[in-house]
Amino acid sequence: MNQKERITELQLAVLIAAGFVELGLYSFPRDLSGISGRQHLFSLGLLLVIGLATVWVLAYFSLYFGGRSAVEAIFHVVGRPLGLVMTIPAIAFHLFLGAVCLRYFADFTNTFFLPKTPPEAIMLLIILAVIFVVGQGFAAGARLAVAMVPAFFVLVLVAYLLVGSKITEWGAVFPSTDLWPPNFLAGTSRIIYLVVGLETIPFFLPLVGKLNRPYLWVTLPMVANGVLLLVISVVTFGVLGLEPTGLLQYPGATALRTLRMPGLLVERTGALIALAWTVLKVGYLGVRVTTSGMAICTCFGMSVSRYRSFLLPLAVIVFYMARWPADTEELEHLLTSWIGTAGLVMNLGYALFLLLIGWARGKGVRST
Amino acid sequence: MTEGGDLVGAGAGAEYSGDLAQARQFFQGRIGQSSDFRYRNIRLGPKGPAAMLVYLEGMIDGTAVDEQILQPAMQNGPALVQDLPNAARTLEQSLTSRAAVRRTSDLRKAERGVLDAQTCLIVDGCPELLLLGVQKFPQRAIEKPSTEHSVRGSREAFTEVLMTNLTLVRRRVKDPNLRVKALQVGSRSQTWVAVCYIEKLTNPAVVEEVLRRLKRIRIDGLQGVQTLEEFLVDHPSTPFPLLRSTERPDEVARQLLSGKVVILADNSPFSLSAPSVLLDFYQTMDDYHFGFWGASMIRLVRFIGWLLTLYLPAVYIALIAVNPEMLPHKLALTVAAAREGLPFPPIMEVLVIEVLLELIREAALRLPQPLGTTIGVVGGIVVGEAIVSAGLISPLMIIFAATTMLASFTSPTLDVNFAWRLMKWLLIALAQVFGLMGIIVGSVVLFGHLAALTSFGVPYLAPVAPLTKEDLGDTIVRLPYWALRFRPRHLRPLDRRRAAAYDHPVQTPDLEGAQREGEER
Amino acid sequence: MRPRLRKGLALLLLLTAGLSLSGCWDNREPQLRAYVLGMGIDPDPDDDQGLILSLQLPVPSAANPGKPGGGGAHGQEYFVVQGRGRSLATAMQDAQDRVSRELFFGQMRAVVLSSTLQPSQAERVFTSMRANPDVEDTVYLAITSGRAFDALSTKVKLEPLPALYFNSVFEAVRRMTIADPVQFWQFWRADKTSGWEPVIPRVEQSQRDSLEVRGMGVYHGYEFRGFLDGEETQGFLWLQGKTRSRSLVVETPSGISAVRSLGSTARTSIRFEGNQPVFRVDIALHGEVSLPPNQQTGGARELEEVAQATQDRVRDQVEAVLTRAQEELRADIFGFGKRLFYHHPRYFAGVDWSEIFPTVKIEPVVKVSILRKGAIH
Repeated sequence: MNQKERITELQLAVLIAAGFVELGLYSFPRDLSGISGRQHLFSLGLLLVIGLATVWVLAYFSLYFGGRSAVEAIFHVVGRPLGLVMTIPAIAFHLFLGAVCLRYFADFTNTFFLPKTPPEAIMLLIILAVIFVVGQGFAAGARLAVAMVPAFFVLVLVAYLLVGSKITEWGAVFPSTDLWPPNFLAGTSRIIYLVVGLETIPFFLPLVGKLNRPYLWVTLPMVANGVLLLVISVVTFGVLGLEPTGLLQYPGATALRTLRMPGLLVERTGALIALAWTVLKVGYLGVRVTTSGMAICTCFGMSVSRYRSFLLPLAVIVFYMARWPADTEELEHLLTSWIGTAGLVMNLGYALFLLLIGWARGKGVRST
Repeated sequence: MTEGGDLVGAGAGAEYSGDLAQARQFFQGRIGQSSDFRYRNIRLGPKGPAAMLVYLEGMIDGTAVDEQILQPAMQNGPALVQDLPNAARTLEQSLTSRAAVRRTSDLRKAERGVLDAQTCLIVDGCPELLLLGVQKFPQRAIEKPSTEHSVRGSREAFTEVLMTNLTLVRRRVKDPNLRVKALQVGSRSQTWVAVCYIEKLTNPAVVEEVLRRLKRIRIDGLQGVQTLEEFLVDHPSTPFPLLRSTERPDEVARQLLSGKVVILADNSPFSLSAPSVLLDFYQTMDDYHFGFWGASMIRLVRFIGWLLTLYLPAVYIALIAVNPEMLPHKLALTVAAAREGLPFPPIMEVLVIEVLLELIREAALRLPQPLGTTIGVVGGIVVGEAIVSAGLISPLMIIFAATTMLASFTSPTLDVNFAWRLMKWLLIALAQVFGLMGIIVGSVVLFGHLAALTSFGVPYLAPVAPLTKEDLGDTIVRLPYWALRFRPRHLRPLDRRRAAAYDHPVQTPDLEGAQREGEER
Repeated sequence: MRPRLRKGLALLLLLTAGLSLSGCWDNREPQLRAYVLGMGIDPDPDDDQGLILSLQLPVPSAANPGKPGGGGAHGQEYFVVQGRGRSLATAMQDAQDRVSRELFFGQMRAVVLSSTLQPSQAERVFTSMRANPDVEDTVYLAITSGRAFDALSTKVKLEPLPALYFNSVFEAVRRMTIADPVQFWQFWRADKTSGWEPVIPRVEQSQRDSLEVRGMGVYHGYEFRGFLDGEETQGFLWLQGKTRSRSLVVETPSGISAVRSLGSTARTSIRFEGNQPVFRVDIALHGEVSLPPNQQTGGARELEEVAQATQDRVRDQVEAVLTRAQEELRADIFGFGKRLFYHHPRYFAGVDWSEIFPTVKIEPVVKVSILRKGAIH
């Protein structure tokens, strides 16, 4: 990426989507089942509100600090020493997010498609693909994302709508009018991980060439994600029911796998479409590695265009991090316990904190 | 060829002093060593100055030399003697020949002109030499295109003569802004290369860059325009072609009108156009000679052909060997039955049959046409049949391989076909280990590579990535002409509008009324 | 030099990756796999906790319908291999020892269970099936009162392989069978949902060379409780709102008539009488008369009589299955408890549904409308 490399607003929206839509997509209904029960749609609604608030605050943050990338803005406001204290854990966290995503994918593929293949081999394959794709450059990555991510959205939505014809458990779908106790709040806290990974906004928004409607373009991916989560949730609960969903590791995928289309070459069409998740994996990891590389560049005082220098070591770090969780249960526990909260702190929390300090010190440059 | 051209590689000059002996010595010491070199000592009229004609046998029109150059020159003989230093200028103005005439005082330039099938007239005492473009050499007539057949389009294809090719293009684009910038490439071959574009339409940055890259080429010989391709492209190591080549003048005209730069070279019946994106390689003139429904159907068939070329062998291996649970159970049993007793795993089957097909394809290409067709048929049927009967390959594999091969022929251009045929091996390797997931990862990697490619700064996957909605009307489907009012945005033309808005519906003529009127009259 | 160095490193990385990834762990040639199309599970008579697994394996070259010369000698299109063990996994291992190729369960279409399986055995079977990644969720289940081995060994006409009988029968869009197809995930879903018990279609060997679907088997958890006969199964389907293109023959003062169902719905509503839930099920059936009572007439009066008779018939079937399920089987196969769980979770949490289901009041209300008179008039 050279200094002049710019992306369009559409590419920004797609990169934002690629950066956070994906983690836990097929497993989140399980987290909602036991806690939220029939209030799961309220959990999702609240999650969407939190997500929208986060994207708007991050967009405002980025515009407020006038074209600076996230880390540049941090250093600008709080200075370099404190900035490093804030940035380094954030980098580590986001790399760990990528590692969790990688491990999930290996586990998912092992469970459903390649039971005998070692998860390390699957992870290595994805890492190599990420190294290659990210190594092609930022503009290329943005173009690839535009070609593939919306196609994934549409494909998965259509597939779930087809599965929707099997919905019989409407009782599990429709929200309960009995809202006491308000379990949906606890449910939302368990699935916050679905809307972390938004650090893409302060990194990529400054790279947009013609920025006319920033708030619209950062809202679009969150709304699209909301629709996707809603459909997955409705179909999964509607097909599998409330309690069975809570007993499955990937209930979204299990619901999708009930879709069979006899007569086609691949009869198990749902299973095939579930595999399309792979595309988002490369996007999710690619975005993580890119933003982490950019952050490290700024920490070392280098130009962000040299983020590719750190590609290989970051990929190795992500690979080894992905091997830390001992099993799927530990992975699940990580996701639902602290990752969501940590992510929210590092996205929304950091942005609000820096905006406050920035206002107080008059350090911002309000951009239109 | 002398029009508006820059001479590349002319080398250091050798100034002509006006002494005929110097010129004679110069030529005899260099190209005079060849037996097809000719020089004639003449006198331009009974009282005219001594002169010498220098040319290469077989490359000039002798009759034109005699009638259009020598005869008028001899008539002007006395006038030339009176002003010998300006004799060349006087001759230039008095000659009736339609041929191009150029003056130079550089012997090396004159030498290059002679090598370029021009005739050099040297007048003793005049420090300038005349180069006369009275070429006449054996050349092929304009024939039908051999690689890009068209059902309804023109049947003309380029030949090896650059001037003829330029004429074919000019007949189709009579825009006074059509510019041709010529230069010579190759220190020994001195091949003329013409860069064509429409001024005030084509983005000047592309033109400048094309010329800049051409001028930087330092090779000794250029035998075809395809040699230039490897020097001109943004990414030399990719297997994907980044410049579209064609032998059809109508295709070149269409490219020029889209806002592209076209490069033609002498001795090459193909042209290159820049910038070219991936979808350009799937567009042919036939798409514009049929109605939009037919054209869209043809394009869809090509798209399906591309999918099959790239994915069919890999999907076969993935579904047979790694993820057989995806197949319908009856098909799974059919496949299992077909493979009973076979000695090779699916990957070896794919390898063997693909290599066999490539051998048959190459053999059919190299042999004379009737024999090539026979070999193709015999090779396909006999070898295919025999190999199945011998129990080495399953019949299913033959079907898949034949389908893949047929699908690959739907690609209008061979160069992109080669690239996909190479890439399918990557997918086959990934499918062998990781099944369907490997194919998806391979596709991501492949498209990642394609997304990174540019052709003179234009992203290779335009207008899909970056997405340009208005340009999608001429990609996988072709919208009607009245809907394709703008040139492709990714080419950044200076004049975006191609056509004015067309009002539909057209007025229905009053046939009956006109007939009645005519009868009354 | 740097770009070349980077490219060299990348190439080295790729080569290393290529070598290390060349395991082809899940890659198996088709001729090295033994496709299991059907699985039968019986209790082991010699071990009260043991299972006998019967696996139906096609002989591909003989069973291939498209291949010329396929079909082989009669009876050679498939064979059944058995394995014994206390768990499904050990029984599969035992069966594997008797087959030269690796058993592959990814194409399995049917699992037949014996009704004599103990609850603990059934639980182990279903848990193992859930845990086995090869076993598809959409595999059809069937239950038989005899031996599952016999069901899988029966050579069925029109199908080269008995296991495909289940596939054909249950996948046909306009199914003519009496029973509702149940896939493994549907059984598992009912089992894991409070207030809902699973059912499985019943399959029996009717003659030496044919199978027939003959109603449904009822479970309570993993305990087999009993079979529903044809009338009760039909009643069960009315209560689920699932129509079948079956004809009901009814008798009216005008004569015998046949009514074909075009579609039916069942809507359940809950009200409380005191502290007791009362379920009302409104069943609406739209039908056509495929055989009118009287060839000569067939007017409005006759049609009303037919509608009334059909209504009575449907209600009889529904009441038969309700009585059977509540009094004898004591299993809520209809999902009434589930509805209570969804809509009145606090009430449901305070009761033991298995205990109170037999006494709960269920009011079926049937309404039949004859839409068409068929092609006769």
